[in-house]
Amino acid sequence: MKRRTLLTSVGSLAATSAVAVGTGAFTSVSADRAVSVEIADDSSALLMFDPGLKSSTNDAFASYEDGQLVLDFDETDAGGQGVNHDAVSQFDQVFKLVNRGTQAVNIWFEHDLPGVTFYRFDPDSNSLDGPSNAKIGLAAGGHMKIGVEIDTTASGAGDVSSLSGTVTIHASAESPT
Amino acid sequence: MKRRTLVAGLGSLSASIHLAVGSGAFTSVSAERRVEVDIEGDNDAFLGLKQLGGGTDTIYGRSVEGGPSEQVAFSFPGSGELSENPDLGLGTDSVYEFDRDSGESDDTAPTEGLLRITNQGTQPVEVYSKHKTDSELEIELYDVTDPDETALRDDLPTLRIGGNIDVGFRIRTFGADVDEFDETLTIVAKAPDK
Repeated sequence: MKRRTLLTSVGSLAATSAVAVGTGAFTSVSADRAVSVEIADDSSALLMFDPGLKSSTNDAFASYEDGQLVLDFDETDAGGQGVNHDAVSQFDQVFKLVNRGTQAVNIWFEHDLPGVTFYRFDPDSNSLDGPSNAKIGLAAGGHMKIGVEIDTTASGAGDVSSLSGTVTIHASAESPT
Repeated sequence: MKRRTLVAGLGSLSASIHLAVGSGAFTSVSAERRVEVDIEGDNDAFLGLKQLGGGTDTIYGRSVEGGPSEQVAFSFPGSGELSENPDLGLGTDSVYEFDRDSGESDDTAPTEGLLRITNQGTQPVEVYSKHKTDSELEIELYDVTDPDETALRDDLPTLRIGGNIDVGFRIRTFGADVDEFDETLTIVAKAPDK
């Protein structure tokens, strides 16, 4: 009699333990999943840079090198070799920026190039330099024609014979400031 | 039976994750790109400025055809004449027109013009000068081939790409005292309709 009771009790214990453990918690899991990314040249990127503009001859200063946009203010067909010392040179519509994403984005430029301003329409009231100048809402599929102003008056009659550096072009669906 | 159903379930899950990622939207991007700028002397720059004629150097050197490419500068009277005769100067209350370099005065076929402005850029441009000064002097440029010698700023000439214009200087001294003046003349080339 006593034995049968014991068996029954053991059986019940086993049953309750199983219930206590089976809550579904885990401490860690690692699961590999496929992510596919395609990287494109500037001519096909989501933020696309186009150095060819039908409306402008200043696109002579923009080109692709190894698929990337490069701006180079040097030789022209007319025999010019570069910008004047001690002068302000303004180039409208050097390249086009196209938003090939699906959201409207704010555009602004960031760089350390002395005397250089990136702009749309005109450098004084439409500079694109710095997050406070971000232009709101370049719509998905929209484009912006970018001009460059180069002011060499600060370095005067000419100890500096060239400028070289990079510009970072920012596009963001969020407000940059 | 139960096991086969489970395997089929996993297959469908992977498929839908892949579709969800391929949307093409970005929230932000930053792209770093190269910029190179060449800075040139007046001879070779996009706004080509060359001194014409065989006169002597000014303190900035001399920007001449085929020669060193400095920054153009002008002296009235010419610096060569001043070194021989330091008291020489323009008369008061007068209008002077200078259309050739003093170094050309002995030449039987003198070069006309003091400054050649050449459009070595990428767009046709209108050219003229601006003179901001605290003095009473008035300085303007005119086309030496224009018989009326109209100031450029009063009738803007357009230079095609590669085109040039040879100019002389007109200086009015009305109200100016006997003195030496260091003036700045701003030469402007601007695409029409800007």
